[in-house]
Amino acid sequence: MIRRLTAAASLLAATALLLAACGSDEPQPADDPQPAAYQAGQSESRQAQAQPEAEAEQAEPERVPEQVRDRDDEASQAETEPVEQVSDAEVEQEAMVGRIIESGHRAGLFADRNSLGAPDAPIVITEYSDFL
Amino acid sequence: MPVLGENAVFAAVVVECAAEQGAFWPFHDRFMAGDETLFTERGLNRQATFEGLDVDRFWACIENGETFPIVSASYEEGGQRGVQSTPTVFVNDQQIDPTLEAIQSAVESALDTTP
Repeated sequence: MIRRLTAAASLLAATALLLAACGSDEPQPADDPQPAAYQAGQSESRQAQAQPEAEAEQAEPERVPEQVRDRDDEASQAETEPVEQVSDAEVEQEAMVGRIIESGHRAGLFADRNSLGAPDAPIVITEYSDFL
Repeated sequence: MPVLGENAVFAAVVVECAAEQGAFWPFHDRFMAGDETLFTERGLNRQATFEGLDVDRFWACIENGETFPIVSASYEEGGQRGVQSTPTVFVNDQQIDPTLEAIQSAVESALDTTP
C-alpha cells in the first residue's frame, strides 16, 4: 500500500510541477520559441527547419508571440479548472450535509449505503463512530 | 467519522470505497473489531477479494481518494450536530448517552410519542 500511495503522490507531484512549468511567466528560451502545437508533425531535422522558421518570423513578427500567448492562455485555463472543480465539490458537499441534517438523516448521502432497516421507520438511530 | 487521526481517515476512506461496491458493513465490522491487517495492502486485497469486490476499482478509489469528500462531509455533519467525541448517538435527532439502557429508553419514549 505504501508503494502505491508513494507512486500516487509522485504522480501528483509530477503533475503539479508540469502545471507550474506550463503556467510559468518566465520567458521562453530564445532558440526555441515555437509552441508544442507548432512543432507537432514536423519530420525534418531541426537544422533544416531553422532557416524557414527565421524567415517566417521576419515575415510575420506577430505570429509566434500570438501562438505563445495562446499556449499560455490554455495553460492558465488548465490550471484554473481543478480549482473550480474543488470549489464545486465543496459546495455540493455542504449542500448534502445540509440536506442530511434537515431531513433527520433519513434521506441523504448515507441513507442508501450505511444504514440498516426500513428507510421509512418511525425511529432513526444515528451513531457517529470512529475507526481507531 | 474520523476524529482520532490519520489511520481513522484512511479507514473511513477505505470503508466508503467498499461501500461503493456494496460492502460497507463487512469492512466496517472488521475495522471496528480492530483488524489491523486492513492497514496493509495484502490484508485489504484479501478482504476485498473475499467480499467479491473489483479489486482494481477498489484500489483506484482508495488511491485517488474518491470517497474523501464523503468522509469529510460526515465529519462536517457531525460537527454541525454538536458531536465532539465518539461514539455519539442520536435517536430521532435527540442526542443521548451511548449506552444500551439509554438507547432502549429513548427508543421506547420515541415509540410512545410516534403517531
